[in-house]
Amino acid sequence: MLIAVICTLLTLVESDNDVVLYRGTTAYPLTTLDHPGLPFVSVSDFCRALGYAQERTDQGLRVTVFNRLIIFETESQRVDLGWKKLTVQMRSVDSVLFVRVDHLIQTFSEVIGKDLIYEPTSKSVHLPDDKRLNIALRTRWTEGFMRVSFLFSKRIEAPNLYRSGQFLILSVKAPTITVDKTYFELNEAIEDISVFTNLPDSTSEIHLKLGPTVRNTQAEPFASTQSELVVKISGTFTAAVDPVAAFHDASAQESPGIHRIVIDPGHGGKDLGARGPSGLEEKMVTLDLARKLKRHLEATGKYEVMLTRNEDFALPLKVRTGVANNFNADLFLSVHMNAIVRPDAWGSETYYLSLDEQDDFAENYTVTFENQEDEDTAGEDSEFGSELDLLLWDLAQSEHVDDSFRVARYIQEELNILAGVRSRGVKQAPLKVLKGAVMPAVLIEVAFISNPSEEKKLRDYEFKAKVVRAISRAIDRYDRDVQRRSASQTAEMQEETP
Amino acid sequence: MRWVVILALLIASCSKSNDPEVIQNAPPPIVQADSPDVDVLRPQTEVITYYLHPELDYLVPVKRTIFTTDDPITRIKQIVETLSIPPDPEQGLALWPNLTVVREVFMVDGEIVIDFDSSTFTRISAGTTRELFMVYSLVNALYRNVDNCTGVRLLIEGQVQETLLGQVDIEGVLHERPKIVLNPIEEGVVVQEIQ
Repeated sequence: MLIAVICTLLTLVESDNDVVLYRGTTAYPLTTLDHPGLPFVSVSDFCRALGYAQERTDQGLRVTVFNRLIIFETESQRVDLGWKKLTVQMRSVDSVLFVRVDHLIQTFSEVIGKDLIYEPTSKSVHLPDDKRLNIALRTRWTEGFMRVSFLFSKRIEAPNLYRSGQFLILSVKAPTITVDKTYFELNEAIEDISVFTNLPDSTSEIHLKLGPTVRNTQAEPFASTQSELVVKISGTFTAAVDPVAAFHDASAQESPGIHRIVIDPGHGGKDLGARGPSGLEEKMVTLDLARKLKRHLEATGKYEVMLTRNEDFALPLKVRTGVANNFNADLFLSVHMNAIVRPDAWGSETYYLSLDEQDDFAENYTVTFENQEDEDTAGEDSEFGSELDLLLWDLAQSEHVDDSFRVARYIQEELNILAGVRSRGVKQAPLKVLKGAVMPAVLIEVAFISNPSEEKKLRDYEFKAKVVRAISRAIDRYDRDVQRRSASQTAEMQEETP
Repeated sequence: MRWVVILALLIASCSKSNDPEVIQNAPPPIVQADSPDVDVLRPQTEVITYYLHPELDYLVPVKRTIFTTDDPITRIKQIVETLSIPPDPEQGLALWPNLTVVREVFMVDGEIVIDFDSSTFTRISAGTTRELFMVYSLVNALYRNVDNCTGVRLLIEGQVQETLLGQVDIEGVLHERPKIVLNPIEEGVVVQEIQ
C-alpha cells in the first residue's frame, strides 16, 4: 500500500519535460505533471499563454474567455461551460490546478471554436494562428421565441445587423469567416442560412432566411468587450417550447399521436455508403431526401422534426439513436439507398428490427397485427432467456417491434403506390441503427443506387419529391392509427370503470 | 562416345548445383510442368457454402470442395476463401469480394472469431440487402461446415465494430439464420468444384 502511495506521489511531481503551447510560432512552456499516460498541464499557464482572465475559487478555477465563463470544479472533476458540462481529469497540487492535456484541449476547443491540437511525440499543443474570424451559431427555443447566438472567436467591431425582406443579415468587418454550425439546426424561425465572404468592402455576411411566421427580430445590445451577439426572433411557432421542459412534460401533457420525428440520413463523411454506377454517393442522396422530408413534415404543422446530421459528416450508429432518444422522438426513420451484386435489382423495401435469428427475413405481408404480436412475444420469451450476450440496451427496441412493423408496412404501402417503384416488401433484420431506439424505428431502402436506371431516378427532383410525399402520407396514417388505438384503449378503460 | 556425352552432362549438372544463383534463375524442368499439380493430389472434401440467388432475395446453398484437413482453423480459412470465389452465375452470386483478407482466425469453446483486414471492405458498394446476405452467408456456412460451432464473431483490424458496411449489427456473437436460405440443400444440387 505504502509503495503504491509513493509511486503515485512520484508520478505526480512536476516534470522537467514540460508541455509547450505554440501559438503560431511563439512557444509558451506549460508547467506539467508527469503522469502515466497523458501529462497534466497547469490551467493557469495555459490561460496566461492564451490571454484569458482567471480567478481562483474554493471549488477550483473560473476562466473568462471573451464573455464566456468556464468553471473548473476540482471536487466533481467537471467543467461547466454553461451550455454543457464535461467530465475531465484534474489534480490540484500546491494550489495549482492541473488538467489532463487532452481534456483541456477539448474544453477550450469547445469554447473558442477552433481545434487545438496535442502532439504527443513532441509534447506540444498547437493553436492555429488563424487570422480568420470564426462565428459559432447556436439556437434555442425559449419563452416562446427563438434565441440565436452568434459567438465570435475574437473581439470585433460591432457587427451590422439588419432585415432585408425575408432575410436577417449579419455583416462583420472581416474578409473571411468560418461558420461553426455544430449546435445550429434549421427550424421554423430560420429556414436556411447562407454565408458570403470576401465582399468588395472586405466584409463577410451571414444571411438567415426567416420563416413565414416570423413577426419580429430584436438584437440585444452589443458591447465591444463582448464577443457574442444575441438575437431574439418572435412569431407564431409550433415548436416554440423549451426542449428540456418538453422532454419532462411530454408524456404528461401531449395528446396521443406522433409529435416528434427524428430522420437519420444514412452514412456521411468518410462513410460514403453505396455508390451508383455513375458515381452518385448514397450519403448525399440520403441527406438530400432527409432534408426534403423534414421540410415537408414541418410544413404540415403537425410534427417537430430533427435530423441526426444536417451536413456531410460521419456519425456513429449509436449516436444516431441517441439523438432520437434525447429528442424524446415518437418515431425514428433511417433513410438509405440499397445496393447489391445484381445490377438489375430494383425497388424499395422497409426494414424493422429483428432480435431473433428465427425471424422471417421476408415478412409475410398478409400477417395480421394480432398474429404478429403473438409471434413476436413467443420469440422474445424463448430468445431473451438464453441470449446472455445480448446487451440490455439492445432490448430497448423490443417493446416497439409491433409499432415498428406498422410504420414499416404503411411506408412500404405508400412507396408501392409510386409509379415505377417495385415493392420488395417489409423485412426484418438485425440492423444496428435500429437497436437502442426507445420508439418505433424503421430503416427505409428507397431504391437501388446500384441499378443504373434507379440511380438516374435518385438524381431526379420530381422522383425524390414523390418519395417524400409517400413517406409523409405513411407517417400521417401511422399518426391516425396511434390516435385511434389510444382512443379505443381509453374507451375500454372507461367501460371497465364502474 | 555415348559415355563421354553422359559424363560431360553429369559434370555440367554438378557444377550448376554448386551455384545457388543459377538454380534460382533456372527455368522449371519440363517434366514438372507436365506433371499433375501436387495440390490436386491432396484429399478433398465437400462443404456447403452460400451465395446470393441469381434472381431472388435469398441465399442458395452450393456444394464445393476444399482440401481435407484436421485443423479447424485451416478449414475455416478455406471456407471464407470459397465464399469469395464465384460459382457459375446460374447457381448464385458471390457476396464476399475476391480481395477478402483474413488477418487471423481462432476458435474458443466453439465460438469462431474471424479478424478481417479493413481493406476487405473499402471498395464494396453495399446496401442493407447485400450486407445482410454477406454476413449470414459466412455465419451459416460456418455453422454448417464446422463441427461444434456455437457462434461467430467478426472483427476488423482486431477490433469489435458496429457493422461491416454500415447497417447489419456484428457487435455481438452471431448465430445461424437458416430462414434466409431459399431451400435446404438436397441430393442432386450441382457440385461446383474449385480449381
